[in-house]
Amino acid sequence: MSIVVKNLSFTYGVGTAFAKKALDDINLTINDGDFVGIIGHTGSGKSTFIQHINGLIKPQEGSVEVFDISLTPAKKPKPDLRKLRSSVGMVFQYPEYQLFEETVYKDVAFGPKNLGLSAEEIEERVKEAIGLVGLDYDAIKDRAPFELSGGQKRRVAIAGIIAMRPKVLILDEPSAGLDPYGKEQILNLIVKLKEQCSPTIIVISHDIDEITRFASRIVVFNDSHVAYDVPMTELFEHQAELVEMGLDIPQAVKIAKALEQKGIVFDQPIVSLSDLYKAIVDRYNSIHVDKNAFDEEENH
Amino acid sequence: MSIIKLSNVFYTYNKDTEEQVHALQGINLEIEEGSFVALVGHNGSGKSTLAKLLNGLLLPTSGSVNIYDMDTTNPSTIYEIRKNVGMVFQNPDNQMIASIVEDDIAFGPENLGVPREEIIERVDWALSKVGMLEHKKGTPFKMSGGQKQRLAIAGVLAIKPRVLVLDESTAMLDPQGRREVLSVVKQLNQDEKITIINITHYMDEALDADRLIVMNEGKIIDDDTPKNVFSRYAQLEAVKLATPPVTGLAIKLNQAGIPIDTNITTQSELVEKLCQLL
Repeated sequence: MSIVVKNLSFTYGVGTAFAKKALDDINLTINDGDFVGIIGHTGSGKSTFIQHINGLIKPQEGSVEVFDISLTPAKKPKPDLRKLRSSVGMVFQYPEYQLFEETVYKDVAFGPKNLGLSAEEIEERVKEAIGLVGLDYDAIKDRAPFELSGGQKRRVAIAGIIAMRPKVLILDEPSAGLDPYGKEQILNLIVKLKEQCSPTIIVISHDIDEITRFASRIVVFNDSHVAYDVPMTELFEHQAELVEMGLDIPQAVKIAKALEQKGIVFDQPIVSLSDLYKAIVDRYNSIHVDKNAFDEEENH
Repeated sequence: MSIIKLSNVFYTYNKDTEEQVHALQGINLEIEEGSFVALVGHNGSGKSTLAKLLNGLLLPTSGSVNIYDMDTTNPSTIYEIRKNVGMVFQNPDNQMIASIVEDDIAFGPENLGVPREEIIERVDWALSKVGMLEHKKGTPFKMSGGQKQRLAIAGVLAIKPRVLVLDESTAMLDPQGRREVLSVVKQLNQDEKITIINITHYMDEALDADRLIVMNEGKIIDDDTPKNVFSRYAQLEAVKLATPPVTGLAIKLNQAGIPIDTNITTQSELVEKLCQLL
């Protein structure tokens, strides 16, 4: 198990008039190899939650265990935060705003450098990371990050994180603000990173259709609580709850539910548009193949 | 009546340097009063440059931009143009200037020298139009993205523009915030007959418009009803754009040999058609 969160609670502005409970008794375990999608309204607690996972926020109540590092409200013993942050990589919203070096190479090298690696090792990691995010190392390494396009900048920022080779990668709204093509590229990149870099991935997104495309497990935050935590294939059964929380329902689920009301029920679970596509094609073909066979029989 | 008229407009950034970029290359465009236009194109296609030309934030390198028959290069009418064409940008946090909502909304009309009594009226009117009147005495900094963006729209409305240009104003919002902003914009178009130009990456937002303009490499490559534009999906894909998800599914099904129209844009159309086939 990579991450075990127990009875975690957190309140912003404790003791002030603006005190706001962001997390209320959260219990959650993330296993090695999980591909988790987190959804929830702005202010539901999801960002506060992930900031606990790499030690940006210290727990006020409860505990967070990440591999063998334990984070608790206690002052001592001090957790090894450097080790924690090299195993849990965090890509924030609009990560391109955090680029700061003169060249792409220096920017991506910043993380590994802080890990105290040798120059050769750093170079190897930078090369690998830039290649993984789909950019041409030789063409881009000496360019200033600021002259790149929005999508490229974002990929450079992600390269800076994966150069640390984190075992867990957390991405907060990775495709926000990109055009459709940039979005598509980032989503494909996440799938590739899961296979080739970080085996455990957690993605926060407002776009539920995006999450249905890759996550195998979905965690819904609502009002500082985990409202539910289910395998993606069961999402179809939770339509009413999503509506009640004012969250979007995946487009494919909406269409499948509408078809269900007209008497067209599919056997397989429908969550993503590709599930729906397959189900429709199968059903259409089975009807028409059967019909053709029947017609042929008639002719004989 | 067309109120916006662009004739053979070119715009070049960093002109006469090695880094010059030809952002717009011969744009001809007329927009009718009261229409709801969506403008799409991938990053770098020139759509934001076009938006900035509409109220003279940028002036054309060549060609002309006329708003209500006023040329944007004429310094004597530029403030009149800016009063008529309001802009709302992407990041709600960059558009708030005061710590109290009503002060923020009053900023525009104050600068125009509107009498105090009328400012108060305009602030109340603008806030009620975006559904934020109850927050008049509140502070913008604690609000959600959707609320802030609605305030940004109210701030523009207080200047009483006839045209509202939204430059990816929903890009940073969550689905709820997007819905709030879009419904406000639709209401303004219907009730106040304000001309809307919505620049967006969301193809489903484009479906709400009565006209969809597609840009690529500084040129307009399509300009028609959204339904017609999306039926030419191969052209959209060629310029790295996509169709709305429902249309995308219909196209894939059609390609798989299922006899279904590729110009379907709404869920109910799709469901109805599938019921006949399955």
